[in-house]
Amino acid sequence: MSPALRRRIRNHIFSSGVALCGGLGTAALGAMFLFLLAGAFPALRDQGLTQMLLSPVWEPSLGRFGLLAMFCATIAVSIGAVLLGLPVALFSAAFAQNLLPRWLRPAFVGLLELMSGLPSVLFGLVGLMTLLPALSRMFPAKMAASGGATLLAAILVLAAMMLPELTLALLGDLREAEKQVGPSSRALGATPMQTVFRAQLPAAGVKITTAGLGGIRRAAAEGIAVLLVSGNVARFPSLFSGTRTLASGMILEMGYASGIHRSALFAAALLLLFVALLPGGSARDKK
Amino acid sequence: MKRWAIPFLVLLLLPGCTERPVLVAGSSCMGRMMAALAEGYAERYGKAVEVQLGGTELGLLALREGGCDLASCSRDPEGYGGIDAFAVAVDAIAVVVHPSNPVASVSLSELRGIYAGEITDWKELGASPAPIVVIGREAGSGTRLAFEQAIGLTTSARHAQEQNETGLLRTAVSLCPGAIGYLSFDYAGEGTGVRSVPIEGTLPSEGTVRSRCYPLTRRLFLCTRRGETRSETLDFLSFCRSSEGQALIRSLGIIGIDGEGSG
Repeated sequence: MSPALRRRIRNHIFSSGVALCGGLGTAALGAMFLFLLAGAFPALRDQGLTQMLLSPVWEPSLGRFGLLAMFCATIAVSIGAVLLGLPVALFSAAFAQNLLPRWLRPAFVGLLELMSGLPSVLFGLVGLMTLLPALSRMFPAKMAASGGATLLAAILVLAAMMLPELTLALLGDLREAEKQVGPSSRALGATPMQTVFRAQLPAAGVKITTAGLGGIRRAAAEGIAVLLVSGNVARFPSLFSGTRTLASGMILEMGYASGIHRSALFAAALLLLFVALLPGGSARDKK
Repeated sequence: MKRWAIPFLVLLLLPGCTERPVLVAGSSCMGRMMAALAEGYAERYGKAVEVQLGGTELGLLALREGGCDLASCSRDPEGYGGIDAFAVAVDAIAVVVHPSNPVASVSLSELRGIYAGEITDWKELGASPAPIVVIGREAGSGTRLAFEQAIGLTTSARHAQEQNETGLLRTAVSLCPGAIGYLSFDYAGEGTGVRSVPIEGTLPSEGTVRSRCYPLTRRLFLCTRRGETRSETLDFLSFCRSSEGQALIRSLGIIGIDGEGSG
């Protein structure tokens, strides 16, 4: 066999292998979607799609499986966490990029990487044991009835959880932006602060939005941390009372649910899948 | 085949050669007891028993679907088809509050009012005015079912917080001065961070349970699939109900099935 032929065969095998892996990945995602759909079908048929989506009453013992309350809680928790976390991450990244002494940067980045690897249950437990009592002390009147286990607690914990990853991502984006506009900005006489706010941030603009949407996705899917600090009461979310998101609701009940109840939880999972996929679809890279 | 691969393959195949250990799944309230029984059984007979939590309902579901050998059940599973239930202990459900809460006693009807959301302030129970933070267990908890049955709650419980495990519930009550919750009485007491409240003037103990003075008592069960024949499972079950197993249970401060305590 000639070397050229051997090379062609090897290339062919390699590209087929890669294509197979890619195909498997996509197929797995599609299979997961179909599995969820099949599992949710009994509940959808029993309750009706509109009824499930629009009713806030989730009462398994009465056969009522309305997802609206948990859906709104998921949205509230993820948007709240990003609204809180994104600015802090942005300014942390700007700080690390422009004001931190160069020799400290590896330590800072290393610390962030370590923190981003911490398991979410850790954040939940620390939240349960320190944040909830602290919230009860800070807002004695508002937190009195719930003991601190509220939507606010969940938002704070999730914001803290997404901070390290978000900061790292934004740091990378700001570094890119700096390479693009930094020298020209400083050549025009801008101060470091002006460079940051007038040049770097606008240049990184779209990527910041993308990072924010990624944060929303991550917060929406977080179950354990929310389970531990948000009180798990399946009612319409309000800042100072207990709540249950789609993810924490699944963790709470999936273990023992059967029949229509289990099927309704599959529908909740399907809804969560849509919530997670939605931001990704709307972000486009502008050049 | 490379020489180094052989030990690796042996390690991979090894689990298949040993017996599958007996798997117990279910109630978190019974977790402490089952862990001690499993350890005692392993020490005595050298056979492994694994204990998993997850809640009474999860245990029963897993038992029915073949996911475990024994389900630990903290409520009477009558009416649940296809299983045989065996009582292994008697338990008192303690109502617990924060150690700083001075309330002297709660009646059954007051408990009903609290968990139905009708009584909302500690001043209605004779303590200083503060909102009652009602903490309960998740819907699949045997303890919750047993508790709500024992206090006669017919409506849906109104909780401020739901925790899905006994330990978490205890932690939540210990961190919140206005909280009230319920759990197995062997999880409350000195040094646990929560205080047991007398119900109708009676504190839970072996004596008050035996004499039926304490109103919130229940039996704890281990369930098998109907007609179970696996000898390892049945051996462990009889160990739990034997005098050895019962002595172990009593040494934990839990009451054995003949109602005798360690006192």
